[in-house]
Amino acid sequence: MKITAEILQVLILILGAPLVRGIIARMKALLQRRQGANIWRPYAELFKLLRKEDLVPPTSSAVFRLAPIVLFGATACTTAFVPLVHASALLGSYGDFFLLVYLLALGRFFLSLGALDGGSAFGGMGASREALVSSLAEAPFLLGLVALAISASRTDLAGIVAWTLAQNIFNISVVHILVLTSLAMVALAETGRMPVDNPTTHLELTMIHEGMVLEYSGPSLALIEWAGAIKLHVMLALLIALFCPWGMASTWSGLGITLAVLLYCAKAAALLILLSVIESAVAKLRMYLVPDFLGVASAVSALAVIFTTWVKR
Amino acid sequence: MSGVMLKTAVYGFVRLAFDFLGGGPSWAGYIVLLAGAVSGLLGVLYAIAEHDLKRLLAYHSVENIGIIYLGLGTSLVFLAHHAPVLAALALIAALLHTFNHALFKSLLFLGAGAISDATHTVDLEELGGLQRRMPITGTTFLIGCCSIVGLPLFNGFISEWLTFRSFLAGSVLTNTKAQIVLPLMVGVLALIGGLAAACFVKVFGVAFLGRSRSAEAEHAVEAPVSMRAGMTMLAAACLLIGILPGILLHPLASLGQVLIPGGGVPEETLIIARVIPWIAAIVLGTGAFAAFLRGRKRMTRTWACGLPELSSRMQYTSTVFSKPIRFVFAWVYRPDRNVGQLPADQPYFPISISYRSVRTTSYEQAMYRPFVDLIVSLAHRLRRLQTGNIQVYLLYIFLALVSLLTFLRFQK
Repeated sequence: MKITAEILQVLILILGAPLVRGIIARMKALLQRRQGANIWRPYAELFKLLRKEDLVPPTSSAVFRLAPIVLFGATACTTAFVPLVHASALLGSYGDFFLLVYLLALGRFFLSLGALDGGSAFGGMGASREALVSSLAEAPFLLGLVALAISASRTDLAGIVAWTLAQNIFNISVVHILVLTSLAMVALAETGRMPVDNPTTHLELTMIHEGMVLEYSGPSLALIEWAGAIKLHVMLALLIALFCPWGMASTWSGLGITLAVLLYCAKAAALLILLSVIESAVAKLRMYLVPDFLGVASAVSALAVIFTTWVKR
Repeated sequence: MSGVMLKTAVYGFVRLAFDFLGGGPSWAGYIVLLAGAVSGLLGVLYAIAEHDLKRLLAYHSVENIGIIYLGLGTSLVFLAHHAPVLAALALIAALLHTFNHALFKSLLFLGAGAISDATHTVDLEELGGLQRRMPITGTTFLIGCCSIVGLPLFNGFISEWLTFRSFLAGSVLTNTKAQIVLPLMVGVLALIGGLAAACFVKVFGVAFLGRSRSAEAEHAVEAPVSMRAGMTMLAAACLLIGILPGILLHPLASLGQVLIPGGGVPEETLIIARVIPWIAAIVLGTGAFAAFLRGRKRMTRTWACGLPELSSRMQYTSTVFSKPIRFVFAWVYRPDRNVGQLPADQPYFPISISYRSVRTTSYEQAMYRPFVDLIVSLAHRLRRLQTGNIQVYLLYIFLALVSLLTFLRFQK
């Protein structure tokens, strides 16, 4: 039963990822008083792209076609670390958050290379900006998770979640509030959402992630889009698991897990509504304000790490 | 050279600090940590601004030695606080990174040599599109890039992960200073890692991918078999350690026991050896599945926004790729910028625009220059003694004799 539930978590994270995007798009449309597309639309889009042929620039090398595969493999692997319905994960007891963050970095590294391989200016522009954002986002991400790990005295994500589950909701310390703040900011930057990057833009002045994938088409684009959706879903699930895990199944019974899945869906929906409100309400930051945004996140994370020494006593 | 020469300093330091002194006070550890952090950050920042491939790699050596010293400093702090197991963990991390650096830096320098052999330049702005012409060199160089950046499944990750874990373990010490400083070092190492990733995206992307930026790069041919064999062996070693780290961690753990009495085998080394093969299997499995999903491919020209053809001059160059990072860290570089335009009286119809940006700060000026200046000025003053007059020299000898005799007389 344990292994089934853990595989279920991975499947939810991978297969449910396009739905997350669909819900955000629909919510944003509703907030802008548009009809909006069906929430299942991203699946249709993936199938459409997967059936098409792959267009490859003649000047590119094997890296161009390899990049989406590595990106997808590495991103899919991160789903094996995140607890969703139970405080455990497929690689939960060994895999710690350093692995998760660096697997995301592996995918990003190859996607940036693929972007440069296209041979146009846009790929380079996207890769260069992504390099700036991601190099500055890594430190607050890791520091925030380090603060949580120190408070829980555990290093694996599943252990941290299990510790949080055992805590009383009213005993939330200042560390958790600080880390939530910084991780929420980092999650926006990592997944390329507003106000760091606009996922719907195709204007060269503003695009980061879209600039990188401009030369991709067909199945390669499908893999990139799917990986992006998985990354978004993983970040959402991570925030939920770290800061609001209550309601996860404590046993391996079918009923408990079903309830936990339903509860997870409710929590994810609430978070998605919040995200779409934020995306509709804020304007995109100017490119050179993003370092300040991430600088604040880093400072908050560092404070959280410092405060752990007092909270633990 | 970078593979071995730089390591003699690390070897000497380890022998002195751990073998002869057996640790030391905790402030010594913090000084080593600080030196490592400064060296790592400045090294990677200088590297990003560089577009001469060999100089860039040399600056990355500065960065990697910084990472090694972060590990050694952590180990000294743990030793001073009587935590031998954790000290062994940090020491193993540093030693493994030393070994890894020898592998991937030699690989990268061999790659740079192959590039310079094929194109007669190591200036990144003159390269481009080499992956299609030199596939073996390119692939092995890519493995070297991934390793030095510390991406999972490559060897650099294993040692960086162990360093991260030893920082995190600092929180179990009872000393408040160590509890705060060591976990905060995670942020420093993460920043170094992130910037290194940005730098090597630039290096590989500009040198090997996209279109060729010069005729030499256009007509480059693959390196000879002997060079390819060397690079392939090093790349294979990087991958092997990256996926099966256990083969190197077990001997290193026993070495740690020798250097640090009571060290034992840190449990982290066992964890990483166990989990990495699984991750490799998952990534390769899903990657294979993803590759299976894809069907035909068709060659087609890159969209040129309606223009007839893209040229290599439209691509991002190495300098412009690093511009955002150089802009953000301008206070580190203090650049001296110079934009010239011809003809000067027609600003909207320039024939040529020249741009030059030079970093004005450096290690040399900030740290070594005052010291060197002091020595040189002292030497200049001492030169006044050397007059070339033989009588004066005889006087010196006489005075030296008299002073020695008086010294001996009054010593008793």
